[in-house]
Amino acid sequence: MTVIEVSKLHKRYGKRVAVEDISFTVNEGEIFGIVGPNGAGKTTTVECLIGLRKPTRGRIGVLGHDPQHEPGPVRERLGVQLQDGQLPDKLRVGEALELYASFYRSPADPAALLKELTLDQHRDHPYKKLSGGQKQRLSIALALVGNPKIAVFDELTTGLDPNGRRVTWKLIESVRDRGVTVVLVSHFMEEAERLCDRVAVIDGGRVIALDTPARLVAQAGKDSKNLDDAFLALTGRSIEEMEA
Amino acid sequence: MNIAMNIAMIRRLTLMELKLNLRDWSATAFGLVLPMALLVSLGSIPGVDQPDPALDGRRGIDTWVPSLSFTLSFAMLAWFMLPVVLSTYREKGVLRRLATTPARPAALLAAQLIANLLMLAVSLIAVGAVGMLVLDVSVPRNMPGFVVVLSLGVLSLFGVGLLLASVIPNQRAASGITWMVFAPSAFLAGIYVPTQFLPGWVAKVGDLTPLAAFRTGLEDVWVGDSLRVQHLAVFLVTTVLAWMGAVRFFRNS
Repeated sequence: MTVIEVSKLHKRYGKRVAVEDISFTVNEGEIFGIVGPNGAGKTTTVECLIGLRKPTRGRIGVLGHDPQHEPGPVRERLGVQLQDGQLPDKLRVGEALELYASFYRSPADPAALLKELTLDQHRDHPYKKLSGGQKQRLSIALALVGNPKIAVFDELTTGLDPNGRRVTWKLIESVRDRGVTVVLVSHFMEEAERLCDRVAVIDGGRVIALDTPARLVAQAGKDSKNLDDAFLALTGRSIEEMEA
Repeated sequence: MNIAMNIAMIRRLTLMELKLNLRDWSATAFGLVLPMALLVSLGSIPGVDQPDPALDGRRGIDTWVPSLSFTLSFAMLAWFMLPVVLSTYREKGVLRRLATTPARPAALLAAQLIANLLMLAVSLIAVGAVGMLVLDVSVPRNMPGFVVVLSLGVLSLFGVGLLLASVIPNQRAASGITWMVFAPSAFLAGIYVPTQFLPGWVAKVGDLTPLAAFRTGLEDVWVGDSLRVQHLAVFLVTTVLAWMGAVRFFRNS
């Protein structure tokens, strides 16, 4: 079953085209990746998807609703974690979660969610005092507290150490295992390869490939070992090198 | 979201914002302690409770002392607290994150406004109580006028604060812009140097600005005079422009 439909999404800022006629669908229960280098248009695409940005043209359906014309139903069923999203310094972990839970009709139990994300011992700690990994887990918790049907994560593991990354990946998989569809935006190819069922590769505002990671790697030739090699084969550039 | 849910949400957000504001010691200090400290220190100046020829026989304790405290309470909360908190939220992505939930970022603006008004009420009541019970501040003679001035002060001064809070993009810009708004207004309102020592044109220009109009209006009603028409006009124009601007130009990020 299709939960997200994007058809010829186009976003232009004056003369600059950020997203050029992008189309893709997301199926229920999958982890769908949107990958590409910084500036490729990934975040703009996702912002249009969640209703934060108005497309220049194109059609978007999230669980059958248009984010621009029916934002209420979309926000109720979508949990979002954006990059660079912070909270007030003195807001405590438990307070944040309870506050956000109150926005939704049938939220998850904040206490249970805190436990699941190993944040319960930080319940009374202010946001300012949390470590990078703890802030990230809180971000995930806030995205899940509304019991969403779809969870969107934008650059989830930026700034985490390798261990923090692995812990977060396990969390994403457990989110999918509860039946939540996941849209993962990343410039980190290893992450997309590890987690995603299917991946849309975006470069210069366009979808240049859309397939499972395995098939993308295979199609790139016998010398390609991973998604970054696949990207290299498709565009002549290496994301890892660009982002280094 | 239906109306009941909206009201419940704003109430929840307001309580949360009030808690957060009070956790910031500098906010409490400037909004609540400073006006009180000024009242007590200035109100204790020898002779301030005697009729002053320079003030046409009025007493300082009935005019410029309480008006200064009140005006400062308003300015601290409306022009510093409200805009700085919101622009900090804007910079950190708090409003943007809220925009992805069923709650609306504008609700956070409303919550901060109400929280600041509650803090203002506490400050004014405390200053009023200490003034009247401990120092010799008289009860305002034109009570209806007093209520009107306070209400119009809220609408116009917090209207400006709301406008600033709606558009300033980050904390650093907020520090600069709020100061640029406050300093000339404070000068014209006689906060730095009492108006009786300033040239006549200062009062004339001040009459066209909301903060000075508020302070002078307070002094007028305190001794029993009525509000001047030009002050009423200033409050009205400021209110309309500020609130319209706030709604029209509000930004999430």
